[in-house]
Amino acid sequence: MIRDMVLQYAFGGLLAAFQDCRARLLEGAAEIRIRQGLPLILRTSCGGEAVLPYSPTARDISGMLDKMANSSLYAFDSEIKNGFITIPGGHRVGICGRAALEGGRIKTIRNISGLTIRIARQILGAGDEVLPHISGNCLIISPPGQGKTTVLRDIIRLLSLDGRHISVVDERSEIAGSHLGARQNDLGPRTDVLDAAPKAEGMLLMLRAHSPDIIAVDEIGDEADISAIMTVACCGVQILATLHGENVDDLRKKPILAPLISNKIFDRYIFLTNKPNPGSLKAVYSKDLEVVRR
Amino acid sequence: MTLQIAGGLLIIAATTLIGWDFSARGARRVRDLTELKKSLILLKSQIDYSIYTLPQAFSHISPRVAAPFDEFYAKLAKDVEGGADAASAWVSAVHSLKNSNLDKTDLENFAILGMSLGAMDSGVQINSIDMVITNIDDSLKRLLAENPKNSRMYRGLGIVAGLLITIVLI
Amino acid sequence: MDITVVFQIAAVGILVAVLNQVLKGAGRDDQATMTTLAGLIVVLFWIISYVSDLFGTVQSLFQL
Repeated sequence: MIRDMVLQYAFGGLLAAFQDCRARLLEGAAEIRIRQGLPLILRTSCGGEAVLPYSPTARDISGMLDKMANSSLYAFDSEIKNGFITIPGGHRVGICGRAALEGGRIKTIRNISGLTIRIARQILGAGDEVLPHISGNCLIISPPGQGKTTVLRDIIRLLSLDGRHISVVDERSEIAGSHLGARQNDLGPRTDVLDAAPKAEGMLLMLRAHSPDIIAVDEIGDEADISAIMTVACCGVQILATLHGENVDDLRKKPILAPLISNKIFDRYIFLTNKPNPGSLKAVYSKDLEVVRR
Repeated sequence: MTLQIAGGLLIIAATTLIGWDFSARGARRVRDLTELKKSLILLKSQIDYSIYTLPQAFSHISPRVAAPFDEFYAKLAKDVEGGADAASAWVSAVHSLKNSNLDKTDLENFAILGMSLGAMDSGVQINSIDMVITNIDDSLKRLLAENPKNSRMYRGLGIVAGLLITIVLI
Repeated sequence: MDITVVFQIAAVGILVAVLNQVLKGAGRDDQATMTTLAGLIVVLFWIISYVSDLFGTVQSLFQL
């Protein structure tokens, strides 16, 4: 399946290179790194690498990106500003090249010299272990790459199936993996997705427009996010969010989180870890930062 | 004798009809060029919105224009959706318009548009479309001035040529 | 000598004149001139044998 997807978009020498590659390698890849003039690299989720003997040309790369965008890169303007586009299937294609600036900010990327295809794999059931601990406002915390988004995605799906109406503010298009506004991942039948909107503005918008039972966001980080959460929390809506972090001390150390913790906005702090799999439950803490389960 | 007359009348009829057809050609070309211009204006606004991909834009245009352009855009939408790159799909689709009432220069003008399709910048594409529309406007203006003259000429030519051939042969 | 030839030549003459006008009216002067020339050649083609007969007759008449 991954192989079909890749062959659908591959162009020029890349097409031959991927055709010759062993199917098993492609199916198991978590990332495909395409760099101009350098050998192709396939990475698996456990960190292993397979190097293919082909080095793509600039034309190969721009042709492939063109195919991914259906010859309509102009329509992906705002996504390219953020450095990636999302293709059908929810896979994210990171783009690098030469940034063109306007007023000091990135307007677009030209002379594309590299693509990083992150294969989206929705894992149904990733949230089973965490689901029983979801009550009230929950913050899911883990270091990068250890399953926060995958678990959040599945929790949203399970709660939605269970009858809760959920609004997702998908700022980085990772939860729903939307392609041109259409979600590529299964988030359940009672879920609304606002794609590519800043969390703060998006949360208030969804609150006003959709009267959800739950609002879900990924990777809260700045003051705007925090104050939006405080606003929304006082409106009787349940909040699900994720955060980068390793353990309880990280929570206490980040000054930005202080208002959230002192006002006991979150009822549960759920920590995830990589072992035995990404998204495994490590510990759960209550709103007072007391251990509930380890 | 009657055979000769019959043959003669046949020839005159044939050349007259050919003359009539030639005279209508100008009007048909005007009609097609106008329709083409309309489709390009639609394409421009679709790209301007910047939310529609090319296949979407093409399939929006297809039902809004008359033949042969409805099929032209429908085929384009299908080809690009299926993975062909816009530039080559455009060129081959323009090729299929050979049987339309458009003239060679019209088609070449139109085909050039394909090269800027799929550019990353919607501005580039819109400028190209504008250029083609301007060229079409020029052609239309010229045609509208020449057509009345030409159509009269072709009709007269048709009849006279028929008569001449008959006389020469009899 | 067949009287129809006279009518034929006359008809060609008239038609070529009409054609000339039509083409000139449409602004195609060079094509008008071409058709006039063509008509001339066709008529010449017809009468060339009669002309040669004429010269033969004159020759024999004056025993030249």
